[in-house]
Amino acid sequence: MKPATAIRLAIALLAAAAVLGATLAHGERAQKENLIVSLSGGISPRKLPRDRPAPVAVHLAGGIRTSDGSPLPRVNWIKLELAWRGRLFTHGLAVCPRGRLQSVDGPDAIEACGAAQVGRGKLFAKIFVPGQAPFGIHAQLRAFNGRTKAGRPAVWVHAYSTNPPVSFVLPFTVRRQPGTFRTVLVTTIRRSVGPWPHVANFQVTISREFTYRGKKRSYLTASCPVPRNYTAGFLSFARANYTFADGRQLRPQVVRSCRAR
Amino acid sequence: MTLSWPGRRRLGSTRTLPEMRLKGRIATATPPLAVLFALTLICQVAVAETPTRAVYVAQLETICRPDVLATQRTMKGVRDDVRAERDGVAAGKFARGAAIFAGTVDGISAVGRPPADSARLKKWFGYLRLQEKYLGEITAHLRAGKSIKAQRATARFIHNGNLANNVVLAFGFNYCSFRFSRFG
Repeated sequence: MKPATAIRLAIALLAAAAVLGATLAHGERAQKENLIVSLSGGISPRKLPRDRPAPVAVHLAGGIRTSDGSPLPRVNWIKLELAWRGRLFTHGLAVCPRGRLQSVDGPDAIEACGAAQVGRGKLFAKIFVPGQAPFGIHAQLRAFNGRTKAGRPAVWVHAYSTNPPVSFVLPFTVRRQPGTFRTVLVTTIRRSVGPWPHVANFQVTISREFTYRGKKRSYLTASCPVPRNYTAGFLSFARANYTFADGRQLRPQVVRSCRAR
Repeated sequence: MTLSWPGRRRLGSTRTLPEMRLKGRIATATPPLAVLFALTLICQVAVAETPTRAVYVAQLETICRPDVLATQRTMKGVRDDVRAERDGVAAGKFARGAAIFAGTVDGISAVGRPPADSARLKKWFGYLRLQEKYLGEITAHLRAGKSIKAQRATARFIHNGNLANNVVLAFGFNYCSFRFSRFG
């Protein structure tokens, strides 16, 4: 490779990395008064078959902050809507009873429900204890395949922090709806989880491959159904709906593309 | 911005002091009061004509709302049209969507802007004009059967829309913000 070409390539790579970094850091944002929420994410791999589903991983990252640095309000309800036209395949995948995740640390959660794990991530939250200055806490997230009492698919998101040692479960129920955003994951954050709801940011990757009836299966599959004369498609990939204790609602939305192979 | 000027013009038109001085002592005593009264009026007029951000957002949302709903009706099914390679039909929908968008931008650009936000809004309107251009490009490329070029223009349209949203994030727009899902 000629030196000039190598330099140009390096500059192009740096520029691409900078753009990607900026995209991942912010994502799409929405603001109401002093409250700013962001949502970012995507599917990997981006290159997918046009006419048959392939295993994919879904990444989601969200953030909440205030423009004036005031304390974050409590999140009451989170609704994640996914518009990816893929499938959620749970046949043959172990189901984790929610009770097994109550009051256990990260390793114990893996020991109890490792076979049902479908994702992982991390979370940063601000803890507000009366009479003390707020402090930040980093927690590891593990997502497990679950079922509601009514038999509906669910995702239990187990959060565990070592310092201070705290754990709790965010129960996301999964349902289908008509329209652009077909797959919906909803969780209500109960008061019983204490000071935790002041979530500042989170990122989670959902992906799991397993074997069912001798065949390799994926928890999530997707295709890129674009016509032959196109190489890429765009979709409103995800929408988040954060409802706060003071009644404010914010709905950032993410548009992503896929490439046909 | 421009809205502060009518107030200044009114200030110029209140020059009745020389006439009042001719009418004696009582008259000479009244001008300061009259000026004060006039100034109060001017200030009130200036405040009324210079919208706050909240008033401005409300005004724009009333303009954007019907246009967004019309766009959604117009663009319905365009994704399926593209998928079924009905590029001509899709181009027609994009053309109508572009016309609605241009009308909206013209409508909202005529609304008086809060002076404190004028620089930010100028930048936003710059992005909106670019959006208009990209919609036109998508339409033209679809009509010409140049699908890859239409695809590139769509990518620019989405990216530019996000940039536009970031500029006016603090305004908390709903209907006046860019949402790709509203375009089919």
